[in-house]
Amino acid sequence: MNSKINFLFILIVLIFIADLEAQNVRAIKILDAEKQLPVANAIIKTDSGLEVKSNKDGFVELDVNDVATIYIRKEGFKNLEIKTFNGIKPTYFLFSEDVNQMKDKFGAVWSSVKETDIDHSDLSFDINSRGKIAGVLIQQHSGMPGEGTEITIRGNNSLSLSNKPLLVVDGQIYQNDGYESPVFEGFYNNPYNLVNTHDIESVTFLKGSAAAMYGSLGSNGAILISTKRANELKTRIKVSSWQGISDIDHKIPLLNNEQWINKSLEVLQTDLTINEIYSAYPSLFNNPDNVGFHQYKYNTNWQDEIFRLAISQNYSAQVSGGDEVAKYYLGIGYNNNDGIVSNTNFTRYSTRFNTDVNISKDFKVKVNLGVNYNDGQLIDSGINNNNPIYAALFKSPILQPKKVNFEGEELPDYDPYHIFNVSNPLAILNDNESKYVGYSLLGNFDLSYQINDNFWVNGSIGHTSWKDEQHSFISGVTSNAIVPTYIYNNYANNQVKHFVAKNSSLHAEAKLGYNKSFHHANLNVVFGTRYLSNKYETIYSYGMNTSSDKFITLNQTNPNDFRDISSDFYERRLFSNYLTFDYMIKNKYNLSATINYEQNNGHASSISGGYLYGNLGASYDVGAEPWFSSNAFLDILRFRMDYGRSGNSRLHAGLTDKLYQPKNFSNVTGLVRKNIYNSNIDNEITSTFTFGVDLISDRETIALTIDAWRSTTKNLIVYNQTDNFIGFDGVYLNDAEMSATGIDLALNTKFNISKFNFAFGGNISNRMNKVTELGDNDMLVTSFNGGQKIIREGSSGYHFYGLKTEGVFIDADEATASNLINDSGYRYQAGDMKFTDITEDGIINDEDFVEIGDPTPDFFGGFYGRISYGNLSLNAQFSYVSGGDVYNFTRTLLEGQTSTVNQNRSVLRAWTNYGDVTDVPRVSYGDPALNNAFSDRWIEDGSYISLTDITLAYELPIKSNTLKRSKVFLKGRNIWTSTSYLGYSPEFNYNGNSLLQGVDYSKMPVPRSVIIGVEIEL
Amino acid sequence: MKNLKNIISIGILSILIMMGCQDKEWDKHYEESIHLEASSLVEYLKNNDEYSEFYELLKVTKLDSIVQNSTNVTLFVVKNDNIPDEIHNENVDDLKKRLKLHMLHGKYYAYRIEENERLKTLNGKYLEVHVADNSTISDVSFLPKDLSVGNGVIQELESILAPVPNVYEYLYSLGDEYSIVQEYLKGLDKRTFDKENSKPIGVNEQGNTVYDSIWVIKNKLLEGVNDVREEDNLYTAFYPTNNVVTEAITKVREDYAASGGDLSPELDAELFEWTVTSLYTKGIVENPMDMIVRTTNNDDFWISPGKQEIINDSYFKASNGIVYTVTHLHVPKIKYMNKFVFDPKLYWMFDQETRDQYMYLEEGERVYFMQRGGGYEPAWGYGWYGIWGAENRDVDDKDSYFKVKFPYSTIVTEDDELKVVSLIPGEYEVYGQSGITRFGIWNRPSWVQLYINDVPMEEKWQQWSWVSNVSPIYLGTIVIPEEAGTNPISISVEVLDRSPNWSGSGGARARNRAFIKIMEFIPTKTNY
Repeated sequence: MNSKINFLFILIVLIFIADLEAQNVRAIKILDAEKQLPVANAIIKTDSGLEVKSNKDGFVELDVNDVATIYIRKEGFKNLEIKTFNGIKPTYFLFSEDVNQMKDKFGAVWSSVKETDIDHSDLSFDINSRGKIAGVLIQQHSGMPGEGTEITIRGNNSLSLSNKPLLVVDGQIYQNDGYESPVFEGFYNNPYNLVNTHDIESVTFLKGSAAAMYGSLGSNGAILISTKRANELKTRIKVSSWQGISDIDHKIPLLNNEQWINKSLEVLQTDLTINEIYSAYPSLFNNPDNVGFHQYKYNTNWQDEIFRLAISQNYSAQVSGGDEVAKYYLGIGYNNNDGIVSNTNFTRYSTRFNTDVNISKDFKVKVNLGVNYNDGQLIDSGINNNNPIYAALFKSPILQPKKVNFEGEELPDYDPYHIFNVSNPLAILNDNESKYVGYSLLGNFDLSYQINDNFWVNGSIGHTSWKDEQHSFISGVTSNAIVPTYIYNNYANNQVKHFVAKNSSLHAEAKLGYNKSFHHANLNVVFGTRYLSNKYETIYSYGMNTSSDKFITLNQTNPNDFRDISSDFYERRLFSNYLTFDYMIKNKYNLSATINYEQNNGHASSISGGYLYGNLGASYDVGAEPWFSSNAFLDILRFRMDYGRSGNSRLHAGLTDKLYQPKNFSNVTGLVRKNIYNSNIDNEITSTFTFGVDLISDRETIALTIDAWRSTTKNLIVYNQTDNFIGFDGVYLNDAEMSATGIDLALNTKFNISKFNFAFGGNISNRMNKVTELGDNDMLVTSFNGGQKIIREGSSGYHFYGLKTEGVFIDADEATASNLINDSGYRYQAGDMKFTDITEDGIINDEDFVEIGDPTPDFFGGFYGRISYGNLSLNAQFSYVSGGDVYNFTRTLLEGQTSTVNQNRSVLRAWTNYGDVTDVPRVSYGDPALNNAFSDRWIEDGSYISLTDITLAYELPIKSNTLKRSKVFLKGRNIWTSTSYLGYSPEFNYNGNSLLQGVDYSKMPVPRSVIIGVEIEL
Repeated sequence: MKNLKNIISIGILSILIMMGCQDKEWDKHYEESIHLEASSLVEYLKNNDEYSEFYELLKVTKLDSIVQNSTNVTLFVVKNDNIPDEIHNENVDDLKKRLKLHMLHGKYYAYRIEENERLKTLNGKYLEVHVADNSTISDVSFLPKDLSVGNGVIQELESILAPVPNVYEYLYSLGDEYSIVQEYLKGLDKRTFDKENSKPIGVNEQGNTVYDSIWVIKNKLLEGVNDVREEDNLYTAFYPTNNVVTEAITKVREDYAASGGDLSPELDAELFEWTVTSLYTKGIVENPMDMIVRTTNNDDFWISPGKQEIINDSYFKASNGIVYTVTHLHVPKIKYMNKFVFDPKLYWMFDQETRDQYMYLEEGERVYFMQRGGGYEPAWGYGWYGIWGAENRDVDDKDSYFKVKFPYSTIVTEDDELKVVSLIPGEYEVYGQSGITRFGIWNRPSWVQLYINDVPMEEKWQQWSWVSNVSPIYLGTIVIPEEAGTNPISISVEVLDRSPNWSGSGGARARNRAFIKIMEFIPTKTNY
């Protein structure tokens, strides 16, 4: 710690050391940065009033005595401003107007990165940002349209609280951590699709302590979205449209009808005699004399039945313009995405209206308003009889979707679930109702007044509200095609679920700013005060067993069966005062600081004591030193460091407040306590130290930025499972500490070969985590559906925790020699899994659990390549994740061989006889040996490289006064993925919860798509 | 432009190469399988000359295509040398049945087969496994081969198996001396239309659905125990020869005649049915001597000398059970006797001559056939009737005691008709209503002992006073031995304790008077 402070001090001293000045008459050359050709007739002006033009070779000579600033202007290029105290280089490059410069992309002092190449051909900006930004891991939750992504900036600082970055739209904080739907299992709503990509000007990702001014809300970093505004008076119209098709990348190879019959017979024979099987499962015997044989003679690949070629379309239009007093921007959009599973889709209607009004020269008003309406048709995920993907994987191939008569003609009804007890996936998709409707409104009003040359004030007030409604009806009473769910001692033959979530928040902020330019320096100070309130409410209701599948509302459910109503409510208020300070000397020394004093009611509903957060940063750009100017190659060589402290205050109500929930007992509903709350729970506090280097060459042919950082999180909240007699699962305590180090590296290059322009680049990031303290516990084990995870002191976080395997017992000798039994006394036999007996006590049980996988990626990032020739360009973007382990829960069921559900083709090499050397154990009904226990057999390497985007675009060479620009493009998305993962897709994220990271529960796979589109600007 | 082409083609090519690499891991997991000796059972036979004859037999019977198209089959093969020549002379259908005995659904490896396991073959019949020292399968030596091929497993037998008849088939392989049972069973076969499995093929002129009919043979009797014609369950069969059946029926008729009744044709037919339907029981009954088994006709079949006699140590082991020959059949009385009723009320239904014949006082002072409340003539509807002993007013006197005898009794037949028959020898449960009437001390219980043929009954009466109209209670079981023939039965009633003198007004003494209201003799279930 001391060394860090010393280092900062030395840097600050350096900044104030006066620096050498040397000036005389200079000749400079002006070149086009891309084409490297001389720019003739560029206008060169100085603040001493001199104005000259460059000659045809781009040369100009000028006397720079008493000149502080040189301005270079040329139509079609960006203006260039040269401060003479940084020295004068022999050559300057001009960048054309429509190039996004690297210089603008990377933040000066702390780590922020701005994404200006927003791809419009997606519902939301996040999907297309995958792999583009160092340190930012963006993973799609699933392929379900509208579900979006999970974004984490520099990994997870918290084990129990939200790790989502803060979302800020046009300066207004949008509080939506998302929620997990109680209606559609595994569905996670996407807060990022509230702004149409067409309306986005830029997105900035703030890393580390860069988000310090947002206090405790910025502890996970922040995403700042700037929406488009009118930047010229002329009326501009842009229309665009794209159409796309998507399909599943690959299907899981499953058994065909014959193979399934064999496998099922083998499984059943371990429990029943052939004769018992014959009477219970006559359909397994390929005998035309059997009753109902006509229903059982098919060979259906159910995956083919539910997956489809999905069509997506998007239309949008933007108009901007205005006059000297008022400018406006209006954008409207319609986006319809069909899911690759039949009957799923997501539609968004979006509008945005931004205005800028100059009431006087000094008084400006901005009004921004965005309104969205979404609706969709969703599906359940997870291991659930209402998940069509689950059903398609497990349903017997000998059945077919519709009932058939003796002649094999299809009847209109869906085929029932039969004795195999797997729902008919098409009945799930077509007989059920699964609606989603969402509304959102985002508006703010912003006033700013320039008091004098140095002082300004700004006030803004904004309101956001959103409401989601989800309704699901799961049929089954009439059709018998969907397996009833057993819930609270009742069979739910059909179910009605309804959920409403409402959120409204207010953001008010006032700022007083001071900026002053000194001779060689600039000072910016802002004092601000911010008030935020957020109210969140949900109501969930559930009923079952309406008299017929025609009745689908809650009041038609059977009152004598289980009913459930639950709700959630919290109100969070946050008040903070902050001061930001930014001092820049001679364009090369920079010192900045932020102090944020914050109070919030997060704890037990009362305003508690305040928290002090902030950061301190300094940077030094060697590239701006006059003695460096003679080196024409480097424009920026900046060293920067930053130390910040922030806290995570996103405590959910269950941590801090007494909660009650309704419970049904003997058909009477009463309220019972839901949790043990901890009124002393405190914010998690994260301190981060970052050291960075930015290197950008003057032509921007190469840009390298490296951040090395170290963070420490104290007061880390962990879930402590309590003893059974307490009656509650566990309690959250501020018990742990964690530290992490990481590196984010991004490299971008550009060069030309003859008329070809090339750009290549990529980024790589990692986070090495270590739990340094875990309270009174050596380790904490938390279970989830199918397995468990462990955190230990000294480990990197949640690790999968289960048995280790050493293959399959080849024969009886080997099994006998091992002398192993399991917890229930079963003695392992030939063909069973050989689990490692860690304790060497001859019993395989939970004492033999070890860490069998780490779901956190070792490193991740992306790379790209771009080639353009004239108006034609080809762009490929890859993203990758390396080293994250995945628990393939779906495969545990597809390779279990314990019942008649369909299996994947690997079971064809299951152990059958002495001497078989294989990795798949023998069949066994009900799995008495627990061969399918949670073990490293199911843990897979989730690494992947994916071609997330490849685009071929052509700018039509038609330009006129009215037609400014027109472009057509052909795009492929996710069309290639390299992975050794054995599930549908290595890219998924169940619900953002740290515990479930890396657990694959049959969500809708991320599809591959081809998109064709056109954009016209008038 | 040429450069561009090159670059694009290099780009596309490299992407294709990368795509080619991608599926390695995937294919390894999902497509890799265990090494197999041969792709199929048939291919294995083709390639191994030592089984060529077995394969030849499969081809002759066209079973090779079935073996080829089935999956998950275990095939028991036999080497050429062990196949006898005469087998080639068997007709194709029989050969087919025989060969199907060598095929099983499922993969059976030696380690999986358990002692006494029964393996169902494609023939429908089961093979019996013994794995002790020398493994045998249906008495043929089993030579485990455990060879996995594409669609199943190959195992070897030392010699070729022959089908064994099941208990049903065995009956018809027996000669004419079993013709009564054989024909009776066949007669119960009923050809019925199986609507569920028949395909509707159209509509006739009347608008009725026309089916491509499937007919099934149903047999009410056999289906009662799960059909013995199938192989999936085990049965024990008891087959009587014609002589045994005839003898049993004759005996019943004689008995019946001796008791004084006449056997109705319906009952006669029923008794015949009983003798020919006590054929089967579920499961294997080994050494059934002195056992009672529940047979096809849902009756207890008591295998014991004098009851049902069988040849215990000579049986046939059928494919689905065991068959015993019955040498003597005995029809239980309960099959043709309902109950014998001794009801004094009925006294009045006969003339005086018959009355005297039916019932007379053997010992005691006097006996009255009287109505409760007084009166010796019947007055229907007033109360009930009984036999009353003499009234005893003197406490020191002998108790009211009497003994009545009746040589015959009545049988209430199923159609409520009264018949007078003898109580024939056998085992009976006795139910009755009897008691004591008292006058004097009411609140003191007294006891009555009942004797039948001078044997005291287990149960005694406790009676406060006049019995109300309760139903007869169980008194005990008696056996009337064969030697007793149809001699009269005696019933005695004794008052065990007396009421003391009544010290009430008038100095009257206690009156103790025993009575019998009704007696019933019901043949016991195991009454033979």
